[in-house]
Amino acid sequence: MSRKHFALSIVMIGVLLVTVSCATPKPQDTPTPVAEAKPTVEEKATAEPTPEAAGPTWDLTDPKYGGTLVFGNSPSCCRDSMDQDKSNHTPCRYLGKHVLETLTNVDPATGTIEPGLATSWEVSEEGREVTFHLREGVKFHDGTPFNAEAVKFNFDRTMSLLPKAAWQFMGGDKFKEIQVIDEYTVKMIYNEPYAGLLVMLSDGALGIDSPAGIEKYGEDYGVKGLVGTGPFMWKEWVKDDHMTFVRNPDYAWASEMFKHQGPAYLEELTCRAVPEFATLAAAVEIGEIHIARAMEQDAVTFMDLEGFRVDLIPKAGTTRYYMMNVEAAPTDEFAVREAVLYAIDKQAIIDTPRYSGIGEPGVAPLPSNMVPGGVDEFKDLTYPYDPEKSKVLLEEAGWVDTDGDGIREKDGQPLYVKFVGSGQSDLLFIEPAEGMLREVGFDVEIVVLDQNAWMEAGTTGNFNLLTMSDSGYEGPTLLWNFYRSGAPYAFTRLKDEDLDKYLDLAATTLDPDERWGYVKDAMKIIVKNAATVDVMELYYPFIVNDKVQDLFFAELGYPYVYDTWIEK
Amino acid sequence: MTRYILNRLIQTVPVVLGVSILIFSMLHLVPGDPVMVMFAETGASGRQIEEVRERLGLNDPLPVQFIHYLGRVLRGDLGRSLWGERNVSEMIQEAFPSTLELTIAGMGLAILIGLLLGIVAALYHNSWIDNVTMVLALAWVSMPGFWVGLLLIFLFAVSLRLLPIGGGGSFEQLIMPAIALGIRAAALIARMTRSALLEVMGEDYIRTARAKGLAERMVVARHALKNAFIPVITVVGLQFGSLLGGTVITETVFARPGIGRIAVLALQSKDFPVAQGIVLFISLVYVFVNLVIDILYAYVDPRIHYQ
Repeated sequence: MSRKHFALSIVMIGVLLVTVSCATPKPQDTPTPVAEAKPTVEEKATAEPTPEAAGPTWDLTDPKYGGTLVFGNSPSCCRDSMDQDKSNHTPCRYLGKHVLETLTNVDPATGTIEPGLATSWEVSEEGREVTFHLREGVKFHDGTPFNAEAVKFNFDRTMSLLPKAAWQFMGGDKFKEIQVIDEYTVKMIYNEPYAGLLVMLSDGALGIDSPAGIEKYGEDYGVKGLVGTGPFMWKEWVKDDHMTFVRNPDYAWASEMFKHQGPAYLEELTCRAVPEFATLAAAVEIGEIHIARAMEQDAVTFMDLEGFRVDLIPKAGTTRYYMMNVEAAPTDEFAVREAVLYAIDKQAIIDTPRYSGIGEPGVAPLPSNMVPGGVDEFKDLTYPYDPEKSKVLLEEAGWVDTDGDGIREKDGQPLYVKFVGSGQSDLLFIEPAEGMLREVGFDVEIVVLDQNAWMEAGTTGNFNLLTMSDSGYEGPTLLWNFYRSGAPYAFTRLKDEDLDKYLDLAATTLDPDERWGYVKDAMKIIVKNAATVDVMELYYPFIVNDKVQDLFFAELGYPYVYDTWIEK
Repeated sequence: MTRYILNRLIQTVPVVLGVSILIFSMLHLVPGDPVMVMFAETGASGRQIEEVRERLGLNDPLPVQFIHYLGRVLRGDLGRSLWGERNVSEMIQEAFPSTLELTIAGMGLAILIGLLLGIVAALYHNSWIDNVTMVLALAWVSMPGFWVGLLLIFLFAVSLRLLPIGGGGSFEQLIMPAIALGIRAAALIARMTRSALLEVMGEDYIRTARAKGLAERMVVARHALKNAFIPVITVVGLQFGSLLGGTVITETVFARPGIGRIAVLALQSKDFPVAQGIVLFISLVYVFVNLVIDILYAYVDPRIHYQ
């Protein structure tokens, strides 16, 4: 083609590209108005409250009633099924908690266990039996009554199906049986004391389903329907698009822990599945979604945006760490592991764009929000950032750079470490450390694998450093799963008799002070052995539309919107 | 012709069998334990992991697992997902319509735009119109799908507030994904159409038609286009497969439901039944589409005669 035509074409493309890239998202002046309030609550509640629901009454003309709240979740609202006995996916649990209520609740501010569908309970002397007194006058969404038979049915089912998260939360092999004592009393019997029971009973995975509902939907239970006693009822689920719940107009038995009683304020609750974080942030900005858990770097842009706020919620789980393989050279040498710890500048990692300063340097395998009283005592035990000390330790251990290439050697072997992670997010978490380790003389190979290969690397020990990301509210159980020698996920391969002893004791000791004493002893051993680099305590940034009021975050770090209302 | 079609349908059996063996072996032989991935977030005891593996039949030797799997497939049972124990056939049935809708929309757009641009470029050969369209086509082919998708979202959904950001179900929600998906195919079809048409236009019989006094429009429409279509149909057929694969990215960026998304998750976590089921299903779709394309040839080109 002629030069003139070519030039013209290039100019046109250029103009097109410039136009499109200038169309960057602008801060909005007026957020899209949220759905108008619907007065259906007043209409439905003209009937007299049932006699059993006598007690506090509620003012249904309160302007807080009404509106639709939209969550955005990545990658999906729930993978495969909302049947809590079959699912292993975390979002299914916290969404499920709006429809299915739990026997207990946890007050995340204090960590105390509050009543839920069980109003009180007693633990037997040896700790193997727990008797629960159930709340009376509660009905499932299908009208059937909530009682001891229903609770027994639920947990018998959990323990007989394929053992997933719910089975584990109930105590797994420790569980022996559950007995109906009378219409509103059940007794759970264990083979040995299960210390985590009361806390785990508050997880959505152990929510109570209607036995009649399970029978009605059969194989489709959890896909086409979910029947519980909660403030919201199942409406529909278009898989991978959205899941919608509607207000339960008969809800009259909220736990005393919450701010109000009676039906939820919100008319409808929807979860939209948006896998791509950029799309999610865009949807919040234009008002299509009200709440979303975002990446830290997206969250930072919303902090200054009018009409939005960012709620930083401490993640429930272990500290975000690099596990070190104590059986693979060179990390099998204690001095080398110490050198790694001194070489890492935790605050610098938190300040990279990926985290944009959101997070706190870690000091122990469990973060401060997971340990009653915090983890201040570990601040003295933790290794500070001191690259010079790191170099000295390596020199003294015989690792010297003999050929001037920046990498230390010993006995002809280079100081090479394999650093394994999974996914883009892990890569951004690992990369800053590579530079820090190279500075003190390590040769670092970063290997980013898909989930399977990453798990395989952990299982076979084909790594020196490995990132892990766990979540859960029961700290002692997490520690046991990830550090007890012989446990499938104890990838550090640290073998210490005392560590195992303390972890086993923590699992069965019911007295909280004694129990947490063991947990801290266990953590001290892990830290003293330099088995992990506890890099940071994570905060989940939730970008929230300012119209959302009284947003409550349950202990798992996810929203529970019974008390939540929307400003008109 | 019917004998030919029947023959082709019978040939699908060994194809499907071959694909099953391939995907089964690939999934199982690649390192990784789906049960370990399942409990990676919460952790689990050795006992729990063993029991899940045992009850899902994952401890059986591979040939035994394959025989069971094949037996079920022949009975039409694709099994249950490892993660939520959902019926795989149902999962595919639920998700496929959305993917099909997107693929057809993308293909339709691609054919429309591609043909139009290609014909115009060929008819105004060597003019500025020709050059501009071909440079545009080059640009489109070079742009990755997810990037185009995100750009469209920021332009039409965030800045101009003209279209919804994502999701499935309505026509407005289909527009941007269809564009993002179809744009590369449109470029390829445009280029193919242009060169095919140019080649045909240079043939003797075209010159004869003109000499006979036929209007240029008739020359193009009645004689040239029909013959130029044959290579174009080939490209369309090949692009269909590419588009079906491209829905994975488009569905992710636009948060549309579909089998693309399910497939990615299943492959990432080695959810065998789901991954195997989807691959099997897609290969059947592909075989069917190829058959349709081949039959289309027979109608367009009378020289082709099947036995």
